[in-house]
Formats: sequence, C-alpha cells, structure tokens
Amino acid sequence: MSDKTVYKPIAFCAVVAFLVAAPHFLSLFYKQLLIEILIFGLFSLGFDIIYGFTGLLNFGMSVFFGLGGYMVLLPILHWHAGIWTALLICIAACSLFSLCYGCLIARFKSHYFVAFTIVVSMIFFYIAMGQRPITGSDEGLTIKVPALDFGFFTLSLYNTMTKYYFVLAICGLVFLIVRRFFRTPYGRAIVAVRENEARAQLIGYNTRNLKIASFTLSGVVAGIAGGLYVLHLGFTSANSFYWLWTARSVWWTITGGAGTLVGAFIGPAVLVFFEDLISTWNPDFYLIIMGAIMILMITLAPDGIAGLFKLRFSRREK
Amino acid sequence: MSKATILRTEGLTKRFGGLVTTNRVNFELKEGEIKALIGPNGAGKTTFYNLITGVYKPDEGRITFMDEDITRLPPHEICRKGIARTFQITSIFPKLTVYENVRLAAQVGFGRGVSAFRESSTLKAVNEHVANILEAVGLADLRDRVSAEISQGDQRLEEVAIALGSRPKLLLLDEPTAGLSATETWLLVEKIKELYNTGIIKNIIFVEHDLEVVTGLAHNICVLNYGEVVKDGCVDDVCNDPGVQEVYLAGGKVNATEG
Amino acid sequence: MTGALVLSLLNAAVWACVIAMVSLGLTLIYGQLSIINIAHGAMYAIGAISTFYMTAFLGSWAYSLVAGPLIMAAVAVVIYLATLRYRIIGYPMATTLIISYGLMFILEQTLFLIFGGAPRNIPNPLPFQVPLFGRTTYSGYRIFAAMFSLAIIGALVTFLKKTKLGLWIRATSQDHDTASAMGIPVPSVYMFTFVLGSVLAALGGVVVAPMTSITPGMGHDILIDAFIIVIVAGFGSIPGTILSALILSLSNGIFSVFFDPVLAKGMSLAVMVGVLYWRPEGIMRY
Repeated sequence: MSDKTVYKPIAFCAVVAFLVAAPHFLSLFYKQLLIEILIFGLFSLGFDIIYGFTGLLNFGMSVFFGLGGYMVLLPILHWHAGIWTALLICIAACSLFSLCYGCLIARFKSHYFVAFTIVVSMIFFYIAMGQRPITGSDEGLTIKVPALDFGFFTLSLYNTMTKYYFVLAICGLVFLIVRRFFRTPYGRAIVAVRENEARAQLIGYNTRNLKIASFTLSGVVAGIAGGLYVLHLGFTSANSFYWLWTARSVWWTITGGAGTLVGAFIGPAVLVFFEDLISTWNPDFYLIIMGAIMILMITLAPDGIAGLFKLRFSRREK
Repeated sequence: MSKATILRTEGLTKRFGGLVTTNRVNFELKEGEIKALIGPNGAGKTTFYNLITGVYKPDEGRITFMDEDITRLPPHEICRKGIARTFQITSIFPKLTVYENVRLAAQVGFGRGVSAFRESSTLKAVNEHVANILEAVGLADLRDRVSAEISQGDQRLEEVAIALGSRPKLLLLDEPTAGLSATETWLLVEKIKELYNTGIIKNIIFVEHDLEVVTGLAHNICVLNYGEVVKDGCVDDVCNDPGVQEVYLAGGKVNATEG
Repeated sequence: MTGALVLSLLNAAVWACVIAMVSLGLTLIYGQLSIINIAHGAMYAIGAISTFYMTAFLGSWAYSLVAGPLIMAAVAVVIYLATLRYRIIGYPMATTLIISYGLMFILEQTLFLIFGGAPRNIPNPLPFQVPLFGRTTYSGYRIFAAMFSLAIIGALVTFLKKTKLGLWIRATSQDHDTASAMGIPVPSVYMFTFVLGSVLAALGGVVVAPMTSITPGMGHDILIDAFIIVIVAGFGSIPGTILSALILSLSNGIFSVFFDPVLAKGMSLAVMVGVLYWRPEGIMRY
C-alpha cells in the first residue's frame, strides 16, 4: 500500500479533530480569524470549482459573493427573516442567478469568457454603488444577526463559539457535497471538459450543459460564503462586489492549490494567518512582505501548497 | 441475404470559403465491414470524419446511420447514437489515468444518462465494462498509470480503448498507426483484428497511409482525392485500378507512413 | 444640455486616448508573455506619483515626461529580473498572475509609504483654454494629453512596424521557438516587451497626473477598465484596442450627461457586454 493512501485519511482526521477542538483552546481573536478563514475557504472553493475543476477562469467571483451577502442581509433587514430562511433565499437566488448567468456565458471561450465575467461583476459593482437606498452603497448596511432557531431552542450567533461551529458545519457540509459530486460520473465529466473539451464532446458529453452546471455550482458555493460573511460581520456594502474580492479568491485558491478542493481552504488558512501575523508585527510594511511571500510561494510551489504535498507523496510511491 | 447498411452518406459536400474539401461524396459501410479510407494528404479524409461525427455541418448532402438521419445532430448526440472515433494526433485526457479515460467514455449512456449522485466507483456495470475493454485492448496492467506518462504505442491503444468505451456500433479510426514503430504498428493491427473477431466491434472505417496495414486489415477500400471519391471497392479491385495507382500509389509502390 | 454633452464627449475622447495607450501596454505584455499583469494599475500610479515629485521638487512638470518613463523602466527591469524572468515558459499562467498580483501589493504599498494615502494634486502645467467653435473653449492641457497619448501610440505602431527590434517583438509574439531559431535573442525581447508595456502604463499616469487627484491606489479602477478594453478588442489588435477604448469611454461620456456617474459607468460596461455578444471573437481580427 502506498504512503499516499495511508497519509490522506490520517491527515484528514487530524485536521477535522483540530477544527472541532479549536475553539476550546483558541483566544477570541483567533476564533474570529478561523471563522474568516473558513468563510474565505468556502468562497475560494467556489472559484476552485469553476477554475480548478472546469478550467474556466472566472474573474468575476465577487458578483456571487456580493449577491449572496445581500440575499442574506436584505431578508433579515426588511422581512425579519430567520437565519435558515435567509440562507435558503440566498441559495435559491444564487442558484437562479448563476444558472441564467451560466447560460448566457456558455458560448464564450477562454479570453472572452474572462472578459465577460469581469464586465458583469463590475456592472454589479457600479449598480450596487449607485443604488444607495437598496444597498447602502459603499457605506453599506448593518443588521442585527438573528438567533439561530432550532425549534425548541435558539442559539445566538453573537456567541463566537456558536458562530464558529455553525460556520464550520456549513463549510464542512458544502465541502463534503462538492467532494462527493466530483466523484460522480457527472463531476468527472466536468473535469473531462477541462482536460479536453473536444474529445469530451466526441465521447458523448454535452459540454455546454456541463459547463453551465459547474458554473451554477460555483456561483452557489461562493454565494453561500458571501451569506456567511454577512452573518459573521452583520454588515455588507457595495464593496463586496469590487474586483479585489475576486482577486483574493483567485490568490487564495491558486496558492493553496487549484483543483484540489482542500487547496481552497489551505490557501486562506496560510495567507490570512500570515497576513494577520505580519500586519501586527509591522503594519507599515506588511503588504510588501505579503507580496513577497506570495511571489515566493507561487515560485516555489506553482501547483500550490496542496500540489506540493501531492508531489511529495507521489514521489515516495515510486 | 444482403447485409444491412450501417452508415451511408449521399452527396456529402463541405466548403470552406472557396475551397471544396468534400465534394458530393457517396459512401457506404455495410454491417460487419472493415473499410479503409485512403488518399493523399489534404484529400479530405479528416474532414469527412468531422462531418460524420458532427463537428462540421455539411453544406449539402445527407448522412444516415442505422437508418437514422444524423446530418444535423451535435457531436455528443451522434456519439450516443453509436459512432466513436479516434484521432490522428493522440487526444486523450492526459492528467487522468488510463482507467479513468476509458471510464469517462463508458459512463455515458449506461441506463438513464450520466449520474450526478452515485460515486463512479460504485457503478458496477460501468466498471465491469471498462475492465473488459482494457483487457481486450491489452492495457489492463497499465490501468492506473497517468495517461501522459505511458508510451506512444500504448497511448494509441488507449485512444482505441476510449472509443470502445462508448460501446459504439461504428468505429472510426484516424491513422491509428501514425507515429508508431513497425512492431507497435503490427501489434495494433493484430489488436484491431482481435477486437473484430471477438465481436467487440464489427463495423470499422479507418484512415491509413500505410498500405500494408490497409491490405492486411480492410475488406474494402475507398479512395479519396481532392474531396472526391476516386474508387470504392474491394481491396484487389482498388489496388489494381490504374486511376488509383496514378493518384495515390505513385505508379505501384506504396509510400510508407507519410509525414 | 448640448454644451454639457459636448464637454462630456470631449473629456471622454481625451480619456479614450489615454486609456488606449495604457491598454496597449497591457496587451503587449499579455500577447507576448502570457502574463496577466495585475500590477499594471500600480505602474500607472508610479507614473503619476513620479510626476508629482518631479513637479513638486524640481519645479517642472515637463521633466516628468521623460523621467517618469525612465523611473518606470528601471523599476520594471528590476522586478522582471527578480521575479518573472524564468516563469514565462513552462509554468502555468496562474503563476505569473499571482506574481503580478504580489507585485501590485509591493508597488502600491511602497508608493503608499513614500507618498502617503492622502490624495494630492499638482497644478495644471498648461493652463490655457483652446477655443473651439462658437464661444466654447476647452482645456488646453486635456488636448495635449490626448495628442500626447496618440503620438505615443503612433510611435509604438511605427516602432513595431519599422524597426528591427519591433520586428523581433512581433516575431516572438507569433512563435517563440521559430524566433529563437532565427537568432532573435528571445529572453531579451521578453524583458524589453515587459518594460515597454510597463512604461506605457506609467505614461498614462504621467499624462493624467495634472488632471486628477493622485493616490497610490489610483490604478485599481484603471486596471479593470484596461482589462475589459483589451479583451473585448481581441488580443494583439492595436486598432481594436483604440476602438474598444473609444466605445467604453464615449458611452460612459454620453450616459454620464443623463444619468449619475456611477450608473453611467455601469451602463457603459453593459455596452461592452453587448459588443462581446456581437463579436465574441473580439472587435477586429488582425
């Protein structure tokens, strides 16, 4: 039996154990940081689905992030929706939006696909910036995060421990669903589109539909992350549609390792942690150091951090 | 009893701007027939394949497969009807293993379409079929190797295995021995014969430049030149036809693998 | 109303010239090096901020027309040699994307440390008005900005078509291996192209500096506009880039007369979507 097959489940269990136990020994600050890491990881997962697994560079992920955020915030703000309701609305809205968006964009190839995604996300940014009464523009809107209602008891998301487990549960659930999805024939067919679209068509796959499905899944996952971010901060603004959010998800995913699913979480885990570390140590130079670290990381590990591990394991196999 | 016609094209024509790559081609393949498609480079053989598989749409003419008009269907539907092809330049999924490559083809059309809910490893029928194909083609011990890393000869075999994975009724081979050594060529030809004899695939069209392969494998030959059919008949008739000899065989002696 | 429209269109035309120049730098870098240069906006800012310092400390704005590009060229050479040089071939495109992203951080933060975050302005070096038809006049400087940008674009085109180095650049863009086999020093051409593209961005900043408020982050919006222009234009097409820039800029100009600026921006982007749909292969095929 190769080392690879032994290491993976062990590493996986170790990480899960750490994540479950973490809030009991981490300070409040680090709990908050970990919550952010999980949410950003979910956002990056959305990007990984369309880029790492389908091979399409969606440089407009911020549209899903922003939309998901508002689809959670607005029902809570205007209709006093509960968390579950708000999340359901978010998922439904993002699914519908991503599906329509995907159908429109499916005809574009490579560069033009990228352009389209950039343009659409910036259109949303400008619309959001302009519609102050609805979106709060760049000042944004604040809400009081409702309690998590389980029927006969409620939990407050203002309790960091509760919030942590809530976010962990959702991220974990989505991660498992996505991982399972890419092991089904349909999921594998999506990967085939990335590898060789022409051939995939000629062995019987409707690649247009596959791309649309993947695009939709990617949008929903990113939207959920946006929604969770609102529940975390109790706030969002039109800036959540700005392209820098997309750039972050791209950076996190690629540094963590695109096409690996775990890479989407490893990226933010390492980078957000570093960013916090360095910015406290040296607030003036931290972006310069971050930039240098990014360059160093991608130079040493072009397939990302997860890619490094895969490489190490497969070398031992031989 | 006359054999059924598997594939027929009538008056098939394709133009690219001013260039006519396929000119009123009438082609027929009967059940159980292995037919070679030969002609000089640029004669329109690959275009012909692209027309049949739906990658190009013909400007005129009709394509009938198993009594069904497939002229206007998109490529993925044509494949599901039962036509599979290989490529002259190896076109596999390089980062996936040999097994995964064939499985991708096999997944389509087993029962109710491509499942999005059950893990691939649990689909017994699919996995059995993949194992059978790999066994038949002779790649069983390479099944978990990454496709980009196996030899050229094995990759050409993999091309065939992927095509067979879709359980086609008609197999289109595009220069299957291109780039192979003499030994590898012989091995591949023997494999194809075996696949035919064991009934895995009974209807084959193949494009070839190597006339030894052609005469060794084909029942009939169709000769194309400048997009037109020059001659279509059994091996002996075609090889002895003076028109064909002039056009393609350059006075009788074969060109070995071109290019 | 007509006056406002004319003014808006003129401003848009001026802006189109400048952003076309900046976008050409981006398309050069992508077309040849396959680098999606996220740092392009930061390079634009470098141009503007060097202009600020030239004007503030040397008292003359005109120096910046030369000094700005020189400073940018020096910086570009350094960053290219330090980070990008060996990553052009044989690495996934994502590698240079992330590198340029890291460079953006480094450059912008460095500018921030030098310049501070507060926006500053420099005085208009050509404060005369050019009379147009009737009694309207238009800012002389803006006309200069447009003319200068067009001149640079013209120089670029001439350079690419008529000089040996330009030929090398075009050849390398088309086929690296053949160019190399022909004796063209491909690695040097790569570096030169990167520097050239960066300088075009910086020149945008130099020319724009007197017209707008200068901050280290002023390149963010520019970057995204340039990307959109370049991709809609179809890579490598110079006339396409100019046309694309005109469409984006002029539609923004027209809409902003009737709607508020934010909405106008959104609408002009919608126009670009329309163009993409109409010509999904890019406006012009070269």
